This record gives sequence, structure tokens and C-alpha cells, in this order.
Amino acid sequence: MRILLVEDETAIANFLKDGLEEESFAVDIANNGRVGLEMAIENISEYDIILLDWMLPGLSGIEICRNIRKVNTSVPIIFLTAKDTVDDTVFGLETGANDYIKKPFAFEELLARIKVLLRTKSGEQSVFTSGNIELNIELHQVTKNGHIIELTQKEFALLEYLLRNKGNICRRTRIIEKIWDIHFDKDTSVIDVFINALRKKLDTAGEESFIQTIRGVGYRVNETI
Amino acid sequence: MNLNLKNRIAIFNTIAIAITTFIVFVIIYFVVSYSSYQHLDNDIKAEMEEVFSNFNWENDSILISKMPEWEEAEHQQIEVNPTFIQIVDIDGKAIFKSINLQDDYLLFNPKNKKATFYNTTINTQKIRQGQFPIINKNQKNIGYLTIGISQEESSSVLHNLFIVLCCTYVILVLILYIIMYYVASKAIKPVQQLINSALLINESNINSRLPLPKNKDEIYKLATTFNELLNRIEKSMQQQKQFTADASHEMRTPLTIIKGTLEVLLRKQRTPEQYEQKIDEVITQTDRLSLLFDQLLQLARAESNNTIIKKESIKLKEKIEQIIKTNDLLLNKHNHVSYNIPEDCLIVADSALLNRVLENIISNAIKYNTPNGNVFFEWNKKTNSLLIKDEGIGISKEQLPYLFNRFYRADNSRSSAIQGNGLGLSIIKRLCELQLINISVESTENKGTTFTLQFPA
Repeated sequence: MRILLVEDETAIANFLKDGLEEESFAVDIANNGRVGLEMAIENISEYDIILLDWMLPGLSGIEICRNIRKVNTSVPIIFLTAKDTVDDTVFGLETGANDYIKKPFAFEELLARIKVLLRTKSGEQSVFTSGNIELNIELHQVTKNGHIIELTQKEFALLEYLLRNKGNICRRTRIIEKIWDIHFDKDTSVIDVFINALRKKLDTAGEESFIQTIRGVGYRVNETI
Repeated sequence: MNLNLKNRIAIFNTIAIAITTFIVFVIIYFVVSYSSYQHLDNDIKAEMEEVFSNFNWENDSILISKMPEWEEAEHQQIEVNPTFIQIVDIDGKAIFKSINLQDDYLLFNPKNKKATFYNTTINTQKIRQGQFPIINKNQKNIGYLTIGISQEESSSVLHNLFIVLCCTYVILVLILYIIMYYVASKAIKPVQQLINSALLINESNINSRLPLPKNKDEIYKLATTFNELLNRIEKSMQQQKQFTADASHEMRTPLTIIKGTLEVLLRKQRTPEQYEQKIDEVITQTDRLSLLFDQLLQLARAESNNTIIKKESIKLKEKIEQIIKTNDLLLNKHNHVSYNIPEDCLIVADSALLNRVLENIISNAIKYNTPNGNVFFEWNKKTNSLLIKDEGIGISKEQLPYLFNRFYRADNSRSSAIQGNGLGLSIIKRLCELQLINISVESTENKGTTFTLQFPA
């Protein structure tokens, strides 16, 4: 899951990025309005959530929201702002945002609301399974046969992506876009490293891997397993 | 009496015209009255001439001749403009009476030595009389001639005139009042419309304006002036709103950072280095909040006119050096400072307030300077001004006018690398105002900025 954060105050961007990455999100940061809008429009299909500050130098959050909605009405947008009157909230939501959170806010609450919007996107699911492997978004944990398996952030993110798209081929380029942030240099071989790690931790000895390799294209978790 | 404008205008106009009309009517009446008496008196005089020509007097006795002529109808009958004649001697005894007097006597007053005219009545008829002394050749008064003629005709004319004038006057005043009230109402109507429009304007629709009448008259002026007032009020409300929004944003940001950083920090076990780093961040933000509160307080105090100014004569160069030293402004900095101020240069200001002003400007000059940039202090004797120049990032022309606005930070200073909340300059502007110091700024982007403080003479 990849998040675009448009926030001009560096310290806020820092703790948000830290906290969200620990929850297996990839986070891109833009610290002014114009850059934020550019990034949003150029990479619109790669972002699962956009977090927008309202009072930004250059372009205001409201303008950014409007412009994003002109080209895409489905990507969830959350306003994160110090503007706190009822009028502001209503205005922000009417401009096209899905949620409106006032600063200062509790990080856990932001997290919960992000998950709600993602949940809605992929149809109310918070638990994904493949055979005896179960990935729980709410609890942020993976179990095999009921035993908790420790995964790193990236491993979790990769597994989640594969399970959400169970039955479909996940292209390598798409995986990179979804799991890694914009600073990554797009060398897709890193995926293989993480796939191996997942297999090592989750495959049942002697059986076929729950992740299927499609040469030259990507990976897939099969429905039948 | 609390009369409204319509009534006041109507009444005032009516009274003015009523008084004028009254004066005119009075004049008319008296002119007519005077001229009708003139006519009567002339007739009497003519009659007197005739009488005097008909008798002569020698010594003390009066001889009447040509009696038969006096048997004209007018002297014999009472109807049809009768003329009454009476002659008395010096003792008051009647020597002659015209027949139409019958048993009456014409009044006469022996005290009048000259010709006099007066009104009397005989029976019920109104009479105008003329009394003339009869003077003989020796200038001695030997009797009186009194002639009376009827003034019934002219009297009734005058009476009618009087009645007509009175009635006309009353009706005129009433009609006048009604007309004036109506005219005043029409004139006042645009004012009432303005009142109705203005009543509808309140805080929520402060951007609405009064409609302007077509005529460019005083009402138009009133409406435009009122609209301009609304402009000023709206602008002021905007500024208030803006200030509140800015202040709240400036306060919430450090709080958000503190809360968020600590919450994320606690979610997992961290290394001591991570804890230290984040705790440092929280301390920085707490300091930032603390500074903000201080400055807001300063601003509030400076804005209220409670600040007492103590003016003193201060040695300028010494003061600047002292400020730099006390506040460690050059600590760990590589900027070079140079002075072009005479040692004995004295200015008049409040010492404590001046400290704050100079500390702020000088620290800005260092903060926004290039790492090795110079700071120049110059004294302009002609304009009594201190100039503080830096060689730093400067301020663009578009942003210069807003520099002293609250919370304003020029875009190129906004990166969080240079800490600031934009209140400093608005505070010192106010502090300068209190000391009658004129503060101004010039700048060229990427070349430098010059602050000029012009001290009172």
C-alpha cells in the first residue's frame, strides 16, 4: 500500500512516515502544494491513499483535492489540517475528500481511518488467507496454522499485496510501485529477495510454494491452494 | 417632542410660509385700509374747502353766506352718502348744523388745535369725521368746523376683506401642511429605503452593500459613504479571521509534532538513540510553542496602549554592541559586523523597547544572511536614521509590502530550516510606533536587505 503525504512541516512528515512505514505502507512526501499535485496526478494509479494538509505554501490543499478529483474520483483522500471549524470540515469533505482529521490528532486514530478507507476499497476484507496462511490487516499479523509468523515491514506489505490480488498475476513493476516509495530505483530484482524470504517463512516443507512464479512477468498466489 | 423628520420638514416649511403669508395678508389689509381712509379724508377735505369758500370771518365772528347751496341733498338727507357739517364757536356752541344731523351733534375735541380725522358713529352709522380749526386773519382760533361723511361702504369692504383673508389663511395653512408632509415623505423615502437595506446587513452577509439611488445627490453620497464604511469593516473582520486562523495554525503545528512523534515513538521498542533524537525534537517544538506564546503576549501588550514609554538619550553604537554581546548573536556564526556610526552619536528612545527592536532586526540580519555574509551598521546624520544591512537571501518586491503583517513569512524563508513564526516584525513595528521611530525596509533578492530606523529629532 502506497501513500502520498502532502505536508510542509518536516517534523510532522517525519513521524507520519516513520509510523506508517512501520505499518507496512510506502510513503511519498511532498512538502509544497505544487509538487504534491504534480506527484498525485503523475502517479495517480499508484497511490492507495492521499493525505493532504490544507494550509500549504503555493497551492492550497483544497485546490489539490479539487484537481485530483477532476481526473480521479476513486482514490481516497484524507485532509489532515489545523483548520478546525465545522464550515472548514464541511467544505473539505464537499470538495471531494473522504475524511477530515483535525490537528493535533492521535496517530492510532489516523491509522484506523486509513484502514477503513482501504477496507472499503477492497470490499470489507480485513483478513486474507491462502491455505493455512492467514494475514490480518487489523491486527497487523500473519499466522500459519494459528502460529504467529514474524515478518518485516516489506515482507508483510508484499504478502498483503499478493493475497489481496489472489488469483491474479502481480506484475513485477506493479509490485515495486505499490510496495516501495518513490525514492526506490526501480530495480525489480529486490522483489525476488523478499519472495524467497516469504517462501522460507511460510511454505510447508515438501509441498509446492503458495507463491507461483510466472517467468518474466511476476508472481501469483493461487486460489486453489 | 420627538417628531420624525417628515413632520419636522413639513411643519418648518408650513410655518415659514404661514408667517410670510401672514405678513403679506397684514400688509394687504393695511394698505387697503389706509388707501380707503385716504379717499374718505380727501373727500372731507374737498368738502371743507367748499365750506370755507362759502363763508368768511372777520374778527371773532363767522359769517355764513350762500346758505341755499347747502341745501343739497347730501346735506339734507341721511341716506346716500350723506355729508354732515357742523360749525362751533370757540366756546363750543354750535353755530351751524347741516339739516341731516337733526338732533345729533358731531363729536368734537377742543384739544385738537390742528386738523384731525377720526371715526365715530351717528345713530348706527359709521362716520368719518374731519375737524378743522377756523383761524381768522389775526391767526386767532375762533371756532371749529367739523365735517363727517359715511364710511359704511368702505367699512363693509374692509370687513369683508378681513373675513376673506382670515378664512383663506386658515385653509391655506392646512392645505400647505398636507402638501408639505407629502412632499417631505417623498423626499425622505430614499432614506427609509437605505434604512431598510442597512438593517439587513449583519455579520453573516457583511459583503452586501446598499443600493445606490439614480440621482447623484446627498442620499447617493450617504449611501456610498456607508458602503465604504462597510468595506473597511469587512476588511477588518477579514484581518481578524486571518489572524485567528494563523495563530491557531501556528499553535497546533508544534502540538501535532509533539503528540505524533511521541505516540509513534511509543508504539514499539526503540533504541536509546532513537529515543534521544525524538525527545530532542519534542524539546525543540516545546521551545517553539513557548516562543509563540511569548510573542503573542508581547503583541497583545504592544497593541493595547498600556505600554509606558520612558524616553532617554542613548549612545547608539554602544547600545548595538551591547545587544550583540548580551544575546550572543554572533556565537558560532561566521558573519562579520562593521560600524559606520560616530562614537558620540545619541538617539532618543525607550531603552528596553529599543533593545527588543534591535535584537530582532540584528538577529534577522544574521539569520537570513549568507554564512559568511557581512552586517553593516550605518548612521545617516541628515535623516537621523540607523541603517542595518545584510548580504543575505533578501526579500522579493512582491512580498516586501506584507513583511510587517502578523504571521507573514516571505516564501523563501519558510523552509523549516530557518525557525520563525512571522510575528517578530509585526511586534517590533508596533514597538517602533510607540517610540515614534519610523521603520522601513528595502531589499533585493539574493543580494541583501536593509532595515532603516529613523529616530525622532
